[in-house]
Amino acid sequence: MKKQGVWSVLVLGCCIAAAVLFLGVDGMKTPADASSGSNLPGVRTLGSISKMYTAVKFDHPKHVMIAGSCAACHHQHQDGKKLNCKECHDIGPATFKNSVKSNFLACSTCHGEYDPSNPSVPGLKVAYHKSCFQCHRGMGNIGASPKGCAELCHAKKAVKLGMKSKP
Amino acid sequence: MAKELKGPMEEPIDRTEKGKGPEDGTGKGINRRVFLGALAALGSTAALGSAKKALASTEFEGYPNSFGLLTDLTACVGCRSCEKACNEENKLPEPDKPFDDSSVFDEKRMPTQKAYTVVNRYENPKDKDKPIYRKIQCNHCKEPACLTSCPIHAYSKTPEGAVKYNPDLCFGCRYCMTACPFYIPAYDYWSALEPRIQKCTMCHPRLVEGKQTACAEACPAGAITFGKREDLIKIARKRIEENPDKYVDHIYGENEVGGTNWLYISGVPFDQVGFPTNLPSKPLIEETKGFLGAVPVVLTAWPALFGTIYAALRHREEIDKEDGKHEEVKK
Repeated sequence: MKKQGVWSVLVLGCCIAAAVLFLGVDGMKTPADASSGSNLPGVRTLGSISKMYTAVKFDHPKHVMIAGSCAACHHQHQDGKKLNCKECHDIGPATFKNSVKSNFLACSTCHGEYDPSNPSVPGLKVAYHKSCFQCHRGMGNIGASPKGCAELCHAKKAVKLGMKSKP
Repeated sequence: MAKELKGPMEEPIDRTEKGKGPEDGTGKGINRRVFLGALAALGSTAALGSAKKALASTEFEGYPNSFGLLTDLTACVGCRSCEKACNEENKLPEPDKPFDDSSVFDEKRMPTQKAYTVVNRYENPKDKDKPIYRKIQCNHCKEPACLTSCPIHAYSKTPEGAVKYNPDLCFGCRYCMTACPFYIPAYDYWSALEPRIQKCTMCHPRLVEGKQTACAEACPAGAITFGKREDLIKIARKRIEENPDKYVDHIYGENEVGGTNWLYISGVPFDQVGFPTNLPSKPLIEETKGFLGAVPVVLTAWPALFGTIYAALRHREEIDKEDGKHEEVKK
């Protein structure tokens, strides 16, 4: 009876370990193959446009694991939009020695300051938030209360408002 | 309207012509009456014609290349960044409740003299966890009813698309408040000495500088897109076409009251999120233009015309009576 119990615990443990290993590796493999493979971006600090809120610490590997694919947030060849290679890859003589896959242009190359004459291309702030809201809307207070912004992603900076003070 | 007016004016001429006959011994007098009647009718039709022309010349298709904004109700997350940016840009007072307070959503708010734009929350019938937010502000009509109702021309429609208000001219009649189909202009009742109408300016000074509006710049969710109105209509149509399940097939503001420079697309029918959906597709001025255009004509031409006809008919009756007497005497 005792032996049986030990065996069942062992088998269960193995199953869990296999499942974790398989899912984990699979989850990592797909996006790794899709992008550069070796140089997956790590934890990034997104703070180039932080004005009212502090910079966001963005855990790339964690998000890749959850989303399962780079295409969830980034333009990919498969997303149906016909973009020129040059629009995402930094193509030059040096690039071809290595791989175009390791030379991505920054999002801000296209999604920089918003240009009203080209309203179909959102600025960097909107491009970031749109990606995040795909999943994070409905999480915590995001989309339920204005406080949600400062709860999950970025803390509020103490910015002086240009409004009239209360009478 | 003009055609309707023409009828009764031409009729009297016919009547006088019918009355004319070779057996009637007073040919000269009737000819004179006919001439007078025709002259009056001609004058009035000419006046009507010029009124019609004047009305036609005020028909306005909106400024080409004017700016606009597109609010995507499916994208708004209710962060109220636009409200905050608006108050900062326009130096409006700080609100009673802070901008990150969600309790303001408990009631349906309207823009006031202290807030040119407000965001309201509505239940989402498709997904209860993702409520719908609707930003309200002046829609900057292509042919604004507030402007046409203003007796002192305190409003102007700028080529950039903004409907501007000049507080120096305003004398506080508040016609614009009742004329606005969206109930937007707010009145500064609390200011005893210089009460003003307050409403969204579409950040006109920023537009002139080539910047986008403060609310559009502040929106992190891409719910407010600033650009040329014509481009925005194309973008809205593309979004609806590409996501037919996500959006209702309607761009609010494309045709409502003749078109507005602020456009909206939504995931639920617009009447469910507080939009007035009973508005005509023509500018509201069209409803009253015929009447208002006819007023001067009616007040000036009609008394002269009908007075002349009345006098002429009375005169003929008298002549007829006298003729009758003569005939009786002859007999």
